[in-house]
Amino acid sequence: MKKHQTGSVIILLLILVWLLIPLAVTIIYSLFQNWTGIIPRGFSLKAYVEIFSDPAFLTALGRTVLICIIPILITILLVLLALFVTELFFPGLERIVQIICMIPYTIQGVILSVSILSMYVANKTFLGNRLVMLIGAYCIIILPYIYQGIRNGMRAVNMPVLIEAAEMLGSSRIYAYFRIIVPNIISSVIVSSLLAVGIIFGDYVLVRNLDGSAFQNIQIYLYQAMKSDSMKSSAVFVVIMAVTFAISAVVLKTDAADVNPDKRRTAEYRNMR
Amino acid sequence: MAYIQFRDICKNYGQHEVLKNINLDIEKGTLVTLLGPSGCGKSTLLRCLAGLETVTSGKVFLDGKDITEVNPKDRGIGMVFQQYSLFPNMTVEQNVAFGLKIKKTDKAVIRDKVRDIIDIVGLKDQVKQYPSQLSGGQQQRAALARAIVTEPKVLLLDEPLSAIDALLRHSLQIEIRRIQQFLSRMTRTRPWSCPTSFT
Repeated sequence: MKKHQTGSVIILLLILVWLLIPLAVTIIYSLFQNWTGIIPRGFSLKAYVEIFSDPAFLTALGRTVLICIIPILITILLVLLALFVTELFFPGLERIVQIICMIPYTIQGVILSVSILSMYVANKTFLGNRLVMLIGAYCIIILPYIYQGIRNGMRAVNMPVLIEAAEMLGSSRIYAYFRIIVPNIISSVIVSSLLAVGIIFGDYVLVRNLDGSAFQNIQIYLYQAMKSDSMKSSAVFVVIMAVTFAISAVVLKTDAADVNPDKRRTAEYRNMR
Repeated sequence: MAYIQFRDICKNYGQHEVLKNINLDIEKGTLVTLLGPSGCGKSTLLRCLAGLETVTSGKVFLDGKDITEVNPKDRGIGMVFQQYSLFPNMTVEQNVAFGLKIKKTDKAVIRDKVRDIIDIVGLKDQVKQYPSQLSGGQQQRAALARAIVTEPKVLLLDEPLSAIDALLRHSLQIEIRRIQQFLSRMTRTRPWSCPTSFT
């Protein structure tokens, strides 16, 4: 058994190294001015000082973080409501809803942005606002990930029976759904949201086409940095990765601490026995 | 007039006729057991009374009132399901208190009632545990406590022992009867109403 464990650990470490090489190289590139030989030379924090003292960078980073939140919240709410209706009232429609939610997988960013512009650019209402279009576009591209994640989580919960039990205790179906079902699938919701954060953070095409220079997100800032200074652009990339990791760590820590007490306590109980 | 009345109840699932012209009267305070082979419609009849299934035709009366079209949450009927259906994200205490919270009962009253019913079913040491930490028999008693604490007019037990092993089943049958008889005696001394039980 010990031999197998050692072998498994070695394989995991090799995979980890392989996956982290690009990030490690980028970090080194952002810290050293010259790397033409084997050993990089000219350690400097100049790139980081430059970006963190640039108000445009901090604004772009803040905008990107903020623009993640609204589409994710909207899409989660819509998917939860859609699944509530299909699971309880129209189970036959579930397949159709799934197909519709999977369609955005096939839509390229350029096609989506051009389609949205052609439909809404002349609209005089709030739908003609570029930022609203961007939020709508993000809702569309993250929809498959949010839907699949939540739907898979719901498969582990016997929703109709739990809702019936709550109804017999005097609860309405919608209250039972948000009070009992959703807390049991919160891990799926969180994981799907983190995936959506990664997608929105990495978007360049949609924001460039829909908002142009009016809404500079971190990817546009990165693109402009790449044109001027490779050390600076590496630093921007490292900061993007660090922020994404930080968001994931905070959210996953919250998930482990608060939600799914059933799983956590089950694990604690098993450890006690 | 009987407390529960089924009048010409018919229930079809598509072309499949599950219940045909069921007429049944049940007096208040009785314990009624439906026996029959699997698939004969026992659970369907219980679910029609609970309101979880709509009848194809016929009427259901409870305490003289026609409840055929009434929502399940408004019928005042408690139910213990085959799979117990305890809420996984809540402790035993929270599960039992759920129905009382929905009714916006006073917190002190909830605390007292939950404590009393948990004592009655013998789960005093498990109040803070989650359903996954309970044995099958404990889950069944928690589900029973949850259904009883809201003082329903009728208590439905849909094959509550089917998921229990044979050895435990006999002792739990006696346990259910003990609880039902205890509640029947308690109505004379404390404000616990004894539901008509239908299993």
